[in-house]
Order: sequence, then C-alpha cells, then structure tokens
Amino acid sequence: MWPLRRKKSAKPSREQVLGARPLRLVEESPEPDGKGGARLKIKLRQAKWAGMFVRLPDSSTKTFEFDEIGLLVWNNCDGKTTVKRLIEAVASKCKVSLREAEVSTFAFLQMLAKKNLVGIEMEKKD
Amino acid sequence: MATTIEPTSPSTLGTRRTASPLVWQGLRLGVPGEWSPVKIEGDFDKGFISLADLDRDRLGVRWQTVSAKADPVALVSTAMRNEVGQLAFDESIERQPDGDWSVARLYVEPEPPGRDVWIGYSHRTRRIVQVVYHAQRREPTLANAIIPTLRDEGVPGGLAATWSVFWLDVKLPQPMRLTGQRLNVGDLSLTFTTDGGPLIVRQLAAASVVLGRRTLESWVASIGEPKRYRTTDRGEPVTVRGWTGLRLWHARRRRLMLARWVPRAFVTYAVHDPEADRLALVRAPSDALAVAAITGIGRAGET
Repeated sequence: MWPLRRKKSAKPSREQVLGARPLRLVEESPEPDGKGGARLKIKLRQAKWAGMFVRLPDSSTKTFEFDEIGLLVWNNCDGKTTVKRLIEAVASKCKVSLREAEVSTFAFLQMLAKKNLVGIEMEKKD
Repeated sequence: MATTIEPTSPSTLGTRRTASPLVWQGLRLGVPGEWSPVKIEGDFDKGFISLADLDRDRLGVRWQTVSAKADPVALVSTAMRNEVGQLAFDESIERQPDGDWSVARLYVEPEPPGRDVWIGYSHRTRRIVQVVYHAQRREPTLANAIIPTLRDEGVPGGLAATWSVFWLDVKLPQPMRLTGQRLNVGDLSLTFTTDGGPLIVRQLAAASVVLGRRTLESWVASIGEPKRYRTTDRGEPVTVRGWTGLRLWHARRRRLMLARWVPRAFVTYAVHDPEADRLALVRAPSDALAVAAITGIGRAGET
C-alpha cells in the first residue's frame, strides 16, 4: 500500500550487538591532556545548505574531551575489536562487574555514534 | 590533626573475585564473578533477584516469608508443582543443603535447554526460597555449585548483617534493615536504619578518574550535606585500615532543635583505597558505627 515507505530494519540480536566492531570515523587523533585523558579536535564541516546563511571560518574546530576510560574505548574503536572485548577491557580497567561496564560502554558508544565519531560495523544475520 | 584508626590491613575495597558471593536480604549465594544482578526487587519478606552474564539470563532467586502456622512440606511441594508442573514434580527429589533448610526439593531438567529448579524452606527466617537456573546443556551447576553455597543468614524481623552486591560488600557490626539502595554503574550505595539514625555505605569505582580532576575534599563537598544537617568543620584527615581520607562532622540544623528523633550529630567518612581504585563514603549517626562499617567493607566473604 505504501511502496515508498522505508522498511523498518530488524532489531539486531544481543549476540550481533556484542559482536559488532566500532570503527573511528575521523582521522584526527587525540592529544594527551596530561591528566591521563585526551582532547580530540575535529575540524567542523559545514553543510551545503547552511553555507547559504552562515559561513564558518575554515579554522573552526570542535573539541571532545576524553577521560582515561573514554580514551581506552576510543583507542580500541579500530574496526577489529568487538564490543564484547571492549566491555571486558573497561570492566578490567575500572574493576567493576561486566554488567556495569556493559551499561557504561554502550552509553558511551551510542554518544560517539550520535556525534558521528564512530560507526559500528555489524555482522549480518544468516 | 590526623587520626589513625586501625593499623594497615591488606584487604581492599571489594576487588572482583572469580566466585563472588551475592548476599542480599540475608540470602548468601556463591555465583561466578561474570554473573551480575540485572534486576533486584522487593524487601526481606518478599523479593526477587535475576542474575545474568553478558550472553544471557543465568539465575533467578525468589523468596517469600510465610505464616508460622503453614506446613513447610506442603508449601515447598505446592511451590514446586506450580513452578514445573505435576509430571516434573514427580521427578523432583529432596535435596537439603547445609544450614537452616528444613525442607527442600530439586528438579533437574532432563533434556536441556530448560530450567533447573530448587525450592527450600528456611526455618530461621520462615522464608520459602526458590532458585531457578537456566540450563543450556546438561551440567550440574545448580545442584553441585550453587545450592551448596546457599545460606540464610537473615535475622527474623528483616535484618541482616552482611551485604554484597556487585563489588560493594560490607559486614555491618550488627544486623540492620535495608531501607534504600542506589545501584548505579560505578556508584553503589546502601542505606540502613539504626536506632540512632540512618547508616549510608557508598562506594565509587574508578577513583583515580574522580581524584584526577579534583581533591577528595572537593569531592566530599560536591556530595553535599546530609538533609537536616550543616557541616561544622572543614574535615580532618584520617587513616582507616591504611586507607587515607577525611572525616567531617555535621550538626543538626538549629531550626530542628525540637525534633528529638533527628540525631543531634552525623559523621561522614570518605576514604580512598588506591589498590582497588575505590572511594568509600560512610555516613552514620556515631563515630564508632561509621568506623565499624568502614572496617566491615570488603569482608562479606568472611562468614
């Protein structure tokens, strides 16, 4: 009835989510802040339509601040490490339970994905 | 002036173990370290805990206090029949672990995946306890590894002295009633009632991250004063069990001078265990109780 309506993609299973491999989408690398964390400076790109109204200077950047644990997750978003492995690394680093590490790692990855800093590669269901 | 309360002890603030005890509302259960509570409901009289690892649900524990006049044998049989059905009930066997279990039955699913169920009655607290293990293959985990560790350490009246959940574990100086819990990621807090007022035991993970950006004093200040109290000093350095920290006294606000039920003073201890990378915060109506609570942190494994 609605040929143009986009089909809703199936919700990934838990196994798929844990096996997903986050990958950094920006080339810039973070600079240490001297407190164990780091600052990631990203060059801002302007959308074409926005340029009609406001023009951003070429040097405009946006800075993201990572603490020690955030940096650990960021450094491991290499497209090879699975989310499950990341959770285990966070749990081991913070000495918390896997379940707690899972909650905070998911929240952090979601935030990175929302800001277009990481993409998450997921294996397709057979 | 610095105060040292006890000589250095090698223990740490609840480091992770391979087989960690889960002690909640008087029920002690030994579970693998990878299993964590995902749902905790209810109180001493009636409640439920669900445990899972990263892959799936593993274990469910349900308890309920029953009337003193009820027949435990009939109660356990009825509960088992309701849980697994009549045919499976006929296959269940009597299985009593050590401790205060006067009646207990175990059903093992012959063709997993399925559920292994153990139901027992504790005459100590008059509670029916039901443990359900989600078996994926034929393995005697429930019968051989979990049920032998099950103990009822509760005290009638809803009190318990030992508490252990996630990586927060504490052995209190006397059995107390839990009145509140806040189990956030990396920030666990339990509140108990005592005769003199509430006792709060709180632990934070990743202390190095917290203290990397601020001092312990400013962290304690950011938490704020207890409700109805004002802080009377700027904090005195203390050492408890080798952990360095701070002690602050709070006095009841003057406008509550007629509220005799509000304890006159309150003490806050905030200590840092660098080895376990934890911060512990204890608030109590008396100094002795606060010190006893800190001393009991990380000692839930001692029976």
